[in-house]
Formats: sequence, structure tokens, C-alpha cells
Amino acid sequence: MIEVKEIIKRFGRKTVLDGVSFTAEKGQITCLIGVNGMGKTTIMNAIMRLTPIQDGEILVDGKEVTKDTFEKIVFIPDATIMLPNFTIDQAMDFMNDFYQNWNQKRADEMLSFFKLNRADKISSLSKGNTAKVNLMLGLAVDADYILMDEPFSGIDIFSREQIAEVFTSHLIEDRGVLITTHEISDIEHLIDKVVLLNDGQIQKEFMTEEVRENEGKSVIDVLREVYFQ
Amino acid sequence: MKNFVKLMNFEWNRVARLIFILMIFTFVVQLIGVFFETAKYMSNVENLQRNEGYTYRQILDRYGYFSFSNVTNSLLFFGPIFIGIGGILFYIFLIWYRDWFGKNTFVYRLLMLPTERINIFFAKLATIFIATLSLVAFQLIIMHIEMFVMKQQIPEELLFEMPVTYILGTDYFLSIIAPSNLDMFFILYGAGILLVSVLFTAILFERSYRLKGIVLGLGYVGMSLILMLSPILINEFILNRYFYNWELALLTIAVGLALLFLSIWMSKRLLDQKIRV
Repeated sequence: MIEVKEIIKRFGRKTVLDGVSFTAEKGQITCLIGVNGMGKTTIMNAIMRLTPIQDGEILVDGKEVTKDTFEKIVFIPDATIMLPNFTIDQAMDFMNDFYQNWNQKRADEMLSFFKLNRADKISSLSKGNTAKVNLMLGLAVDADYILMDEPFSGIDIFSREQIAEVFTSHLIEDRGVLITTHEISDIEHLIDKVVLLNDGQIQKEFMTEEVRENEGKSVIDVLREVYFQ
Repeated sequence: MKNFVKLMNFEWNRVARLIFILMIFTFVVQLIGVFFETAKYMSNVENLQRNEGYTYRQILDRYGYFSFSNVTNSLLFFGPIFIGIGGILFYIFLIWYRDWFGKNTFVYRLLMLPTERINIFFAKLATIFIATLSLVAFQLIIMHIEMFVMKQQIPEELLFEMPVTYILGTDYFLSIIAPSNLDMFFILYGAGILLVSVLFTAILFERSYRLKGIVLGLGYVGMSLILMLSPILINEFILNRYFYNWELALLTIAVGLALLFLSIWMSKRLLDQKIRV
């Protein structure tokens, strides 16, 4: 389980995260929702120790994040983080070199599912294909948790469909996924839990199934209530 | 350790092409320098022979022997070396900043690798060191070739031959980049490693605290400079030259080592706890 406990993050005098706490569990897809600039990406970065926090604590399976944690938690940001002059093959070699948990079989499977050419240079790929490579490089690590930052942002409808399909496949099954998106409609039917971020604080945290069954509301209905009340 | 070697190999591959280009550039320009200097000398010689009927003896009295120093003192020889040094200095910064800027932000990948982050620091430091050594080694090799080319251009009677080791020992500038004894090598290259480590720490201050980090980084460099000079300054102005020179040298080395460890410790702390993507 990923536990974010009372984290405070300030940029200069501006408090972006003000005592944010939530959990993301294994076997569930947790969606972090908030309008742009609310600190969703900052939370992801803080979990991966890519930005310092002023207070609070982040635990993965009850332990602080260390180098060893990076074998079981991967982060797929919305930008390409591989060298642009690498081919897809070289990028996979790089990952294989450093990650004990790299699963080449799974990577190959995703390459053929996404119809990617391993000899292509990353810099020559379209935005959609770049996102797919990003996803492939992240999901081919046999990690317990996957963080995804805006996986659908700015890509074409067909790529979105393919990526959404990945969420229902065995590639995601049993893993804990924490995803941020503001295009909720793409994956609304897939997510198990929603964490609503507003003004640097958690506004609401709920299980989608419960809200659907008990209150007959969709995620978007709840969002509307929270943001426009 | 394994990850450090992998990272270093990776960093080396990223800079290898640049080093290779610098090598080719140095060789070509210095070779032009050899041809230029020998042609200039020989044109003077031929003029004197043709117009004044000078013998080699008389020419030597007038112009002296041609030696490889004529080449090493020319801009075409040391110019490329300066460009090489400038290239390495520039790369000390580029080796970090290229991971943050540009089309892809590779620093995410680097910082999320399942390895100690200080390995990134060591890999980049080792890459700078190896790049410098490669350039120096290449320079020593091509000097032999340049000397051979020079010998083909100048008549034996006018040539003062000296081995490369002699030139390295006598030329002030070359003796710094390629010290001829082991002690000097360790001291000069040790000082180089220390300088790069201090600059790396300053860069990491900037990458961690951005604007405020520039001030902290500059402060760190300033403090390092004062610390390094402190044994000399204290000895000179407070202790009235109490220490012998060798004691002062040992003291400076000790301060340098302490500063190196401080830089590594500080960089590790910044990379582990303060760095921002």
C-alpha cells in the first residue's frame, strides 16, 4: 500500500499541498483528480523522491522510499524520460541493465500490442507512440505499484483506446495503480477509488463502486457536486 | 559498484563523440601548425640561401635551430588544447544540465533508478576525469606523430631534436596538463577532481534550490576557495611563517581531502533529499 500522510509542500511562500493524506492499495486503480495546478504531479514526484516535502511522510508497504523501493514502484510521467537519440531497443536495454525486475517478455508483448517498431528512435515517434513507449517501459518492470501522470493527455483517440485497454489487461491486474488525469471519461469505468484534490487538500476520497451502488452517482456527478457546490 | 560502472559507461558513451571530435580537431589544427611553422622557418632559410648565399652554419647563427618548441609555442598548437580545456569545463555543467533541459527530461529516469543516487555523481565525475585523461593521452600520442612530420620538413642539420618527455618537462603549460612525475600527477589531477566535485556540488545546490541555490552554490565555491587557501593565509599572516613548506603542502592536501569528502557528503544529501526535477 502507498500511504501518503499529512504531506506539506511549499513552493516559495505558496503552499501547494497542505496536509494531504490518502492511500492507494495494491490490486486497485486509484485516481487522483483535481484541476490543473492543484499539485497532482507534485504528489507523484514526492512519492518518487523527485521533489522534497516540507512535512509529512510517504510509505510504500510500510517503509520509507529508498533505492530498493524503485524496483517495486514505477512512475510514468507525462513527458518522455528516455534519451531522445535512443532507439526503443536501446531504451529497453537500458532498463534491463538497471532493473532486476525488468520483464523483457512483457515488454515484447506490449511492443506487438502497440505495434511499435523496436528500431525506431524515440525522438522520431508521434506523441501517441511516445506515450505508448513510456507506458511500455514502465509496465515491463515487474513492479507492485505504478504511478501514471496524465497518460491520456494530448494523444489521439485511438491511442487512448489502446492505452485504456491496457488497464483492463493482465498488465495491470494485481498491481496498485495511482493515476492522475483530468480526462476522467476515458477511464471512469475502470477506476476503483477516487481521491479529489482541491486547494492543496483532499476534498473527498471514495470508492467508485460504493458511490455508484449506494447513491447512483457517477464519478463525474460527484466531481460536479464537489467543485460547483 | 556494478551500477556505478554501468552509469559511467553510459555517461561515457554520451560524451565519447564530443571527445572524438575534439581529438580530430586538435590533431588537424596542430598538424596545420607543424606545417605552418616548418614552412615559415624553411622559407626564411631558403631566402637566405638563395639571396645571400648563407650556409647552414650562418643560418643557425641567425635563426637558431628549429625544434619542436617552435611548434608548441604557436597558437595553432596550444589553441586546440585551450579549446579542449574549455570544452571539458563547459561539459562539467552540461553533464548535469542536459538531463534537466532539452527535449526529454532524462533526470527523472536517472533519479528513479534502483541504485544509490550518489552513483550518478560519481559516474559523472569519473566521466569528466576519463575524458580529460583521454584528451591528454591523445595529445601525447599525436605529439610523436607531429614530431615525425616536423622531421620530414626540416633538414637534419638545422634540427634540434628533443624527446617528448623533455618538452613536457620544460614547457610550463604542457607540464601542467601532463606532469612528468607521479607526485605532481596525483597533486594536479587530485586538485582537478576536487575542483570538479566542488562545482558539481554547486550545480546540485542550484538544481535543488533554483534561484536561492545559485547563491548557495556560489557561496559554497567561495567557501571552498577560502578553505583551500586557509593554510597558506594562516601561515603567512597569523603564524608568521611557522610551518615549513612541506608541512604547509601536507596541510593543504589534508584540507583538500576534507573538502572532497564534504562535497561528496553534501552532494549525496542534496541528491537524496533536496533535488527537484
